[in-house]
Formats: sequence, C-alpha cells, structure tokens
Amino acid sequence: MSGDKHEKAVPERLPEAARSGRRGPGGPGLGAPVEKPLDFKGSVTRFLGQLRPHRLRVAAILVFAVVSVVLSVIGPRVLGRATDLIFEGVVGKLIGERFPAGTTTDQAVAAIRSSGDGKLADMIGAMKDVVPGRGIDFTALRDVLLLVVAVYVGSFLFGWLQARITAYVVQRTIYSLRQQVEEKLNRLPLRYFDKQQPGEVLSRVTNDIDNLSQTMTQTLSQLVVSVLTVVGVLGMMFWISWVLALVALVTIPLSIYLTTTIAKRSQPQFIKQWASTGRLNSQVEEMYTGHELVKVYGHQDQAVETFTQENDQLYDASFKAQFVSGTIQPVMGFVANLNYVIVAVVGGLQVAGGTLSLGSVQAFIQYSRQFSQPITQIASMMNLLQSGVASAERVFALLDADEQEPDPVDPQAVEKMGGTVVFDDVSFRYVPDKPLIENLTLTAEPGHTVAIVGPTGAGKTTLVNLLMRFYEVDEGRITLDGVDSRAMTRDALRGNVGMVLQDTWLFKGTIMENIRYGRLDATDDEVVAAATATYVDRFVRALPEGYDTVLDDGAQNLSAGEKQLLTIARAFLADPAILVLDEATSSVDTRTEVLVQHAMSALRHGRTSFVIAHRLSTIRDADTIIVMERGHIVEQGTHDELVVREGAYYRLYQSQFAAASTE
Amino acid sequence: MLMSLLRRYLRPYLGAIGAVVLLQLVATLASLYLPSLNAKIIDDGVTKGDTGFIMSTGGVMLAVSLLQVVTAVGAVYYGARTAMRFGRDVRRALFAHVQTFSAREVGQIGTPSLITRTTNDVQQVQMVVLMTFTIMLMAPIMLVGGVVMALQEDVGLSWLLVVVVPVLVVCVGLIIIRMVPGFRAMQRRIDAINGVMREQITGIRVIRAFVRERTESERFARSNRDLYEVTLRVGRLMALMFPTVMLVVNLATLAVLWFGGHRVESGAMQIGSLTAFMSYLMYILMAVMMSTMIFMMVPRAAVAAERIQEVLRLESSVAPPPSPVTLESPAGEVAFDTVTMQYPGAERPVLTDVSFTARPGGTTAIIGSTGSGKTTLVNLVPRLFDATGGAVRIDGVDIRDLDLQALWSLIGLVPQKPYLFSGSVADNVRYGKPDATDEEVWAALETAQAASFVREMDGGLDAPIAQGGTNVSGGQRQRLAIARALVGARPVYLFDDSFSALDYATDRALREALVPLTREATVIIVAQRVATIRDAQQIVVLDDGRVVGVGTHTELLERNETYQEIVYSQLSAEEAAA
Repeated sequence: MSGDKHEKAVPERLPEAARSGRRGPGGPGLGAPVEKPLDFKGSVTRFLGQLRPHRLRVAAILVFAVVSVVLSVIGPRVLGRATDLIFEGVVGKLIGERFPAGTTTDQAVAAIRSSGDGKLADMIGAMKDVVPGRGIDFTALRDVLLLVVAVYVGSFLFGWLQARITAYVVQRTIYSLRQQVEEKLNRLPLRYFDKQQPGEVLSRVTNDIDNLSQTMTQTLSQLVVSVLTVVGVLGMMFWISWVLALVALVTIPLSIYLTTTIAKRSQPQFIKQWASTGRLNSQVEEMYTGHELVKVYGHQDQAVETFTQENDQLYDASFKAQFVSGTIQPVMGFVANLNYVIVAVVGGLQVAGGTLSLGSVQAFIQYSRQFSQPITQIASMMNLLQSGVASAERVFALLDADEQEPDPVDPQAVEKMGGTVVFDDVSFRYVPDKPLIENLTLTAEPGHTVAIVGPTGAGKTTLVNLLMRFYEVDEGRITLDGVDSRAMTRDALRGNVGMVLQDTWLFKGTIMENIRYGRLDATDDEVVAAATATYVDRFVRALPEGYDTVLDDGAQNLSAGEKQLLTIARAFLADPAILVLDEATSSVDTRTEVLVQHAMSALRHGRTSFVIAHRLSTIRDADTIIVMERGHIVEQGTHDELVVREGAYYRLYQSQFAAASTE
Repeated sequence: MLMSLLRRYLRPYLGAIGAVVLLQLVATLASLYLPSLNAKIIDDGVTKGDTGFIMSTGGVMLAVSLLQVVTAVGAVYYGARTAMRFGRDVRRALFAHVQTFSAREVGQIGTPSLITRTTNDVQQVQMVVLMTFTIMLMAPIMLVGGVVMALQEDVGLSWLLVVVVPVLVVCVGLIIIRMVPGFRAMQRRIDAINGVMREQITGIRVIRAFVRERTESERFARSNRDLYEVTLRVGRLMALMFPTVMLVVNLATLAVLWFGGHRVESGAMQIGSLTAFMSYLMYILMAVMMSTMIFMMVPRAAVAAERIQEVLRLESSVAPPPSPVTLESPAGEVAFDTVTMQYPGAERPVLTDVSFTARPGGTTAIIGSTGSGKTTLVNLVPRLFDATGGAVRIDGVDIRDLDLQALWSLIGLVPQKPYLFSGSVADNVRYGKPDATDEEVWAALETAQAASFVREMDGGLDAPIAQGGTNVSGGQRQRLAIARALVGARPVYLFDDSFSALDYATDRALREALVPLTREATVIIVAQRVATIRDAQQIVVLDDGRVVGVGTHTELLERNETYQEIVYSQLSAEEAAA
C-alpha cells in the first residue's frame, strides 16, 4: 500500500493538471511580455460599460479635454502674432532709419525694390502693419501677450480639471471592480477554488486590477488628448501654410517606418529578456530554497555554472533589448531635427519671398515639434492598452465563472437543531466519468460520534464537503433533523455545523478576535470561557500581550498545536449542534497533542460529531466507526465489533500497531 | 552604499563609461547648437533674404543633427552595455557569495529576501545605472550648455533664468513632496488589501463554515475604501503635475517675448537671438525636470544597493579549515562531545552539553517534543551550522578539520522539508550521485518505497517534477528525497523527520528495506512517532535541548519519564507495552 497519510482539504481525485495549474516563473522581474487580448473590441466595450455610472463625468472629461487641447493648440498661433509684431517693429525702425521721415511703407518697398533687393521688398510688402519709423508697438504686443496668458491659463485649468475628474472616474471604477470581484468570490462554488491555484485567483484580483488601474490612468484621457492634439496641430499647420504642412508631413511616414522597424527588432529581444529573467529568477529561487541540499550534495560549483550561463544569456538579451529600444529616441530626435531644418529652409525661403510671415514660421516650427510627440505617445500607449485589456479579460473571466446554485427561494426555517444527520443513498463525483462516492447511506444520531477511517482517496474529506454543501450531491440527499439540506439556506445549514480542519486558518488580528470569529456577538468573558474549556487560556496567558497578541502572517508566534487549539476554541464558542473534526496529522508537539485530544473530546461532548481519524487510538470510543474504501462504506460498527470481525478495520488497526507490538 | 557598490562593480568598465560621457557630451552640445543655427538662418538669412545662406546653414544644421544622432546612439550602445554588464556582475557575485553561506546566514536574511535581493534589487540598481548613462549625464550638460548658449545670445535676459528655474523647481518639488508619502501609503494599502484577499482565498472553507462571508466582505470593503482614498489623492496630485509644468514653461516663453521685445526695440538684441533664447530656455527647463524626476529614483536604488551590500558583506560562519585532514576509508562513526548550540541573538541555547555516539551498522533515533533541538542537532553534522561549544567528530576527527566537500560526500541527508528540484524523477534521484545508472536509481527508489508510484507516473523515471516537488504528494516527496539520499551509498545517513507523511504500513516497509542497506552505515533518524523508532539500536531522548535519556525502547519505557510521556500520548498503555 502506498497511500499517503497527509491528506489536505482538497478533493482527492482532481486531475493532476488541474491541481498543478500554471506555474509562472518566479517574480515579475522586468514585467511580463505584452499579452495579446483574445477579443480586444469586445473586452474594451465591456470595460467601457463599467464607466456607465460616470457617464456625465466622462462627458465632462471629453469636453474639457477638447477645450484644453484647442486652447493649447491655438497658443502658438497667437504667440506667432507677437513675434510678427516685434519683427514689424524692427523693420519699421529700419525703414525709419534708411528713409527720410514721412516715407510710406509702399514708397519704402518700391525704393528697396529699385535698389535691386527684390526679396527684402517682397518680405516687407507682405507684412501687415509696418509703420516706417515706428518701433515695436508695445501696446499691441501687450494685448497679444495678455491674450496668450489667458489662453494658457485656460488650457491649464481645463487640462487640470480634466485630469482630476479622470483620476476620480478611474479610481471609482477600479474600486467598484474590486468590490464586484470580492462579491463574486463569495458566490463561487468551492469547486472553482479547488481547480485553481490560490495564487492564480489572487493574481487576478490584485495584479490584474492594479495593472488595469495603471493602464486606465495613463490612457483614458491621454489617448483622447493625444489624438485631439494630432488632429488640432495638423489643422493649424495646414491653416498656416499648406505647403509647409505637406513638407512636414513627408517626415511622418519616415518616422512611422523607423519606429516600427526598431520596435520589430527590439520586440523579440524583450521577449527573450523576459523569458530569461523568468528562468533566472526561478533558478535563483530553487537554488536558494534548496540551499542546504545544494551544499550537502556538493552541487555548488554546478549551480554557479548554470547560473552564470543563464545570467550571461539574460545580459545578452537585455543589452540588445535596451540598446535597440534606446535608439528610438535619438532616431526620432533626428527625424524631428530633419523636419526642423526642412521647415526652416522652406519657411525661410517663403518668408524671404514674402509669401509667409516670420511669426508664422515660428509658430509652424512649434507645431511641428508638438506633432511628433503625441504620435510617439499613441504608439507606446497601444502596448499598454493591450496588456490592460488582457488583464481586464482575466478579471471578466472570473466575473463570468459559474456560480453556485442560489439558495431556495422559499427556504425551510431552521431552529436550533437536534443533530440527526442522514446520508441517504448519496452519490457524488468530481470528474464526470470518475464516481467518487456511490450510493452511500449513513445515519448519525444526536450526540453520537461517527469516526471515519480509510486510506487516502477513500472519500473521507468529500463526505464533509457534501455535508457542508461545499459541493452538491449528484444523487440522493442529506437530511438534518429530517430536512433536506438543499431546502435550507447555506447560511442556516452552516450556522448549525461547526468545523475544525487540520489546515488551521487564522487571520491577521488578535487572539481574541480570532476566537470570537466563532460567534461575533460573544463577550470577552465568553471568549475566555471557551478558551479555558479548550486549553487555550493557559498558553495565551503566558504570552506577553495575552489575548491582545496579534497573530501575524502564518501566525509564526504560535506552534502548530497551539494554532489547532485556537481553532477548536473558535468552534467551541460557536456552539453548533453538529461538528466536523479533521484530525491533525502534522507533527504536532507531542505534549500539545495530548491537549488537542482533550480539547477535541470536550468539544464533542453533547454534539453529533463526524471525526476524520488518522490515528486509530483516538477513536476507539466512537459510537460508530465507518471504514471507507474507494467511495464505499466497507465496514460499520463499534471498535470492539470491528476488531472481532477481523475485516478491513482490523487490518488497518494491525498495520498501525503491528510495528509497535511485534518485535 | 550605492556609491561604493557602483565604484566596485563599475571599475572594470571605466573605458566604456568614458566613451559614454564623451559621446553624450558631443550629442548634447550638438543638439544645443541647433537653435543657434536656426537663429542664424532667421537673422542672417531670412531677414536679409539671403537664400544661399539659408541653404548652406540648413546643410550645416543637417550635418550637426546627423552627428547628434550618431553620437547619441553610440552613447546608448555603451550605456546599455555597461549598465547590463554591471547588473550581470552584481548578480553573479551575489549568487556565488550566497553559495558560500551556511544555514545561519541564509536564515539570518531569509530565503525570500535573498531571492528578492538577487533579482529585483539588482534590477533596480541596474535601471538607475542605465538611466544615469542615458539621461542623468545629459541633464547637467544640457543645463550648463543651455545656460552658456542662452547667455551668449543675450546676457540682458539672463535674469529670467534666475526667476523661471526656481519657480519650476518649487512647483514640481511641492507636488512631488506631497506625492511621495502618498505613494508609500499606497504601497502599504495595496499590501493590506492583498493580505485580506489572500486570507479570504486560503480560508474560504472556514469562512463559509462559520458563515462569515459578510464579515469578510466588510473587511475587504474597508481596505478597498482606504486604498481608493489614497490612490485618488495621489491621482489628483498627478493630475496637477503636467498642466503645471506646461503653464510655467508657456508663461516663461511669454516673458521672454515681452522683455526680449523691449531689448530688441532698444537695439540691444537681435530678433533671431530672441527665438534662440526661447529654445535654450526650453532645454534648461527640460534638464531641470529630468533632474527632479531622477532624484526621485535615487533613494529607491540606494535602499536596494544597501540590501545588496548587506548580503555581499556577510561572511559565512562556517569556515573551511586551513589545512584539512583527510579520512582514509571512513567508517562513519558520529560522536557528539558536549555539544552546545546557541543561535545568535537567542536567549538560551537550543542544545546544551549533548553527548552521544552513533555507531555504524545501527540506527540511532532522536525523539523529543517540538523545539527540543532535534533538527539543529542533525544540521550540525554536515556543518550547516557550527556548534558554539563542544565538538562533533566523525571517526574521531573534528568535522571542522575536514574539507567541506569531503565532509559532505560522507553524508546522505533527508531534510525535514523534502525539497525537490525541477526536472525529472531521475534528475532528482541522481542529485545524490550524478553518474548513477538507471539500475542504481531504481534500486534506491525500491528501497525508499517509491518505485511503485514512480512506475505509475506518466513517463516513469522521466516524469516531470515541478519546482519544490509541488506536483507530487507530501509522502511521495519524502520518499523521493529518501531515494536521493540512498542512491550514493554513503557512510552516514541523516533522516530528519522524514517519515512523517507516510502511513504506518509504508513507514514500516521502508524501515525494513533500509536494514540491509545501512548495515555498514551510521543512520540517525529524527522522529515524532514512537512506532517509527522503537526498533532502533539506540534512542536519544531530548528535552529542552538536553539529553535526558539514551537506551533502547524497552529500557527507556521502564525508567525514562519523558520517554514514557511521549509514548503514552501516542499509544494506549497496553499497546506501548505489547
């Protein structure tokens, strides 16, 4: 026989693949490669649906964004007028110095043209408001600048308001999404949790939602602003000079081509880098966790060697990834400079030819600089958006998971129970074609102790799962005091059944709070009374903070036995009519073990109890012992009856004590 | 801390760093030169209508811009290479150094923390190094260059710099200063909400059994609310950041135009210089922004560097002997001679004056309640720790005089937590003896009572084992770990509570199978279960770190109180005596 004694509170016969789940490489490291969402459009639409309660705010965001972008786009245009004013003043003064007073601008232009300087004449001729002899018109300049100040302050205000409302909408949505997920978890059947690694579920409700929050913060309004800016700037550029705009547009395909080429080359390097980081991290994790084994079995040199190889690969990939992606910025800068030179040259020629004002060229240059930035931003947001939508999909998948059957509409009222439990011809299977429990019938009288024994995989834990309705029976029924357990609400059923598992779950909080978990309205005195009855009081008083001791992660300040005692005290305080005890098998301190047994029998007193037993010595006084094998009850009776029968129980009993008694 | 780490691990790359600085300098100067070329186009070309000049200066601009892109790419090349090499070297140094640690140092820092330090912390510092080479170096060059160029264009306007730069620094600084505590609080609250969630998922059975879904929901909602409040606060500050920066920059441009206009009017400044001055102001403000952002990153990297240095400075407490003694054909007799062991910082020793001898050809069992020092005692033999008093001897030689590799080659250890490595079943068993044949592997599996389930696994010996052995049950893990210890026939075997997850029948079969194999060897078994050890040649009873009895089961049951107590807690009186 090769059954394992260590039995966890998980279904015994889940397929291996379902249990092991996906095991990602240790730690996110540099972040995971961008995951492509399965249904981008559908998921985005669904996500936008989450924004519905905020639709007025979303509308405000859009309006403010438009206003802010429009203002910031016209800013340079108005500013260009200021440059023109200064330039006109300079030219006006120049004319004033060269020609006698009283010369009109037209006369001056004609004079300049006749002197052979046709280009300068064209340029001045194109100026709107040159008054010979008059310098810069500071009153006009002041008015223009004040207007620009108003424009910029307006752009600031709307931009700020827009971002502020966005922050609110994003955080509200994320808050509500977290709540939805949490509420969903409460409606999911246990089957769901048994099939998934706890880490997987946790990652969905934490990492994925975090990722979504970041994506939203960075894209929701930015995307709108960037797109609007591109459109606005492009419009302004064409308005100023369509010739220059066309010239400037020539560089756009160039920059798109360069960005995609570089991205195409860096993408595989990034993927390599992530994969390598994952491998390296899991190697480090493994070697550090198995540290003593690596040493004692003399594998250090080999470990360092393997590590160095992986480390070198990581270096190689990350260097290439960083280098290739690092070239994007200088290259884009070069394209921008190229654009600058072309605009300056062509614009300069046009100004000299008098077809364009200097201020317009100035404004145009500013626009063309504003133009390339949002395009690069949109490109990088696309990546972010994809990973965000992939996260949203995982969260939605959780929200869509099948829920447990709802409670009956008209549930049977349950008073304090007497404690008769009947399994009536119950059949159950975790996997459709693998029956686990078949036609099981069993009656437990009030106050009786029913001990369940059998090898791993016999279905002992499953029996408890069915009683608690963690899983629903496929056929037959379970009745409590004659009432079908499915006819009552789950809460009513579970309120009458207490449970002590070997997996001692304690939460972060004081010892007092952890015991009171059994009955929330219990007074301090009642908690202490329960603690005293279950041998908890003794060791708690020895702790420096007593009942106020905070149990930290995994409750490392308590021994395994003491934790077990705490969970017994919790069940004692709950005072249920029916009790389920899963006996501890882990190596509990031998002395505490005795206390645990005493505490358990104190707890059992006067209640219908189901004990999943691992150590036969503790259940000899049970009213009924049930021996299970492969989902069936093979034997049933008291200890003495079963020993006399010399059947399965007797063999089990022999195997436990034979070693001890035959030397 | 950060500086000393950088000094040490960047030294080999001084040449490359020099190249980065030089290339970065040229690149930055080139990009600073561009606005003044543009000013020339306007002043000397456009205003004078000189097309030829515009074209030729445009050509110069293109050349400068080409120089800029080439040097910038060069700087990225050397920068990325050096930063990544730095990361690689630090990681390798850390990993190799941790390999020299004894269990004490590993325990002192903690395995999860060691993992984070080797991976994430190195990553953090490496990123800062990369940022330094690409951006941080550029910022001061740009700042100084920008100021110089701006002054060259017009000294009279330079007072604007003195006003605008501090205004920007103060505005950005004020927002950042208020944001930093928000970020910290956010991290804490994310941890808190994850903690609540983790508890809810791991404790789902208990929560449902006690009908506490609503309590848990309320707890979660509180954490969620807390997190929401702080993220909203941070989000609102962030919302202020970008518009503020833009406002300052834009207003600065207006100021240049207004005051510059006056200077142009008075003839003190040319109009082209005005536009150039504006461009330089932009460069300066950008450099200021960059520096502010980087100053936010440095403290985090400094913390990471400190954590890395702490590991690198920690020396193993288990030192190899200067002149090791060699054991010729070791028999494997393990003797504890008044061994005392006190963990650093502990108030009381875990082991006090422990003396006994475990002889070859028999089993020595160690029993005692939790915390009685059993595991510590076992860990002393392979020098995972060194005793603080007394000595452990193998064949009469103090183990501290043996070469470490030689000592380890004597010992087959099955630790309390039977860790398995990722790979196949065979890989794991061969960990004990890399050149073991398939027959030897099967023989070890047979003895360890693991052959039957390995045969049933998909792939048999080649069946995959997940990291840590999480894809097999606890009992299977223990038996594979035992096979790993048995495969390389060694004179000393240490089983630290290695049968706890086995049922009684398997436990018994295993012990029977061990008998012939260990006839020549010394076997030390730590156990909780009396049944596991009652046929041992010698049982050592530990209580509170002291040996309170040595003898056989019958002897101890007769006269040793502690032993009786342990036995009776597990077996009924008649079973114990039977």
